[in-house]
Amino acid sequence: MESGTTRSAWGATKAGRRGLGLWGPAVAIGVVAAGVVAGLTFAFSPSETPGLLAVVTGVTALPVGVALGWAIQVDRTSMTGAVERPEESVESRWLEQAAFGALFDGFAMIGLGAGAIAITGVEVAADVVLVVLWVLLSVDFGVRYLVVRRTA
Amino acid sequence: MNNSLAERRTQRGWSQARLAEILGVSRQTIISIEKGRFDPALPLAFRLAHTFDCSIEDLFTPEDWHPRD
Repeated sequence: MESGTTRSAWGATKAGRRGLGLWGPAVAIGVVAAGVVAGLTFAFSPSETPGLLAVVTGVTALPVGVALGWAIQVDRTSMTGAVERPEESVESRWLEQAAFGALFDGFAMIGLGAGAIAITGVEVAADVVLVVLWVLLSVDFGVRYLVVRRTA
Repeated sequence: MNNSLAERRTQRGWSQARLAEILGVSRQTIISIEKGRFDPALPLAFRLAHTFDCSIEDLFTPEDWHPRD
């Protein structure tokens, strides 16, 4: 980053656009992404009220889409607190350690879960399994990261 | 790894944040290196040595190091 360039919490685009110049396109990207999600929901949902469900999923997806639009555009070196070489910082090592541990925990979870389902014959909806697995892995990763960070 | 980073840094009157800014890494990275809880990758180790005008061996010493005579 050039010296004298001001940094801010939300940063700027590589072209130096801030405020509306940054968030305008981000919102536009968010609206498009939300529209795609809503459209897919409307087209494939077995619900009796696909329109209502599409609106709900679209509204839910909008902030995520806007965040994605921001992340695509922003020049990270324009953000307050951003370091030049994050890959060499200790936080990257913590991230790797936490992700590595969570990966092997995931192997164990899936293996044990598949064995339990096979033995018991319990029928579990696929979406429930995936959501539970996602939550468990997310919590696992988060806890591991906090533990590694605390002992650093 | 044992290291003389904190000593050399304070000799220059630099804070951990200042050294981190010079090297382009986080302040937590400097803290962890000085505590001996994080061994830097080679590029960072070389930049540290260059910053303090010394060799990597002057900065870092393995805990069980026995140099051959």
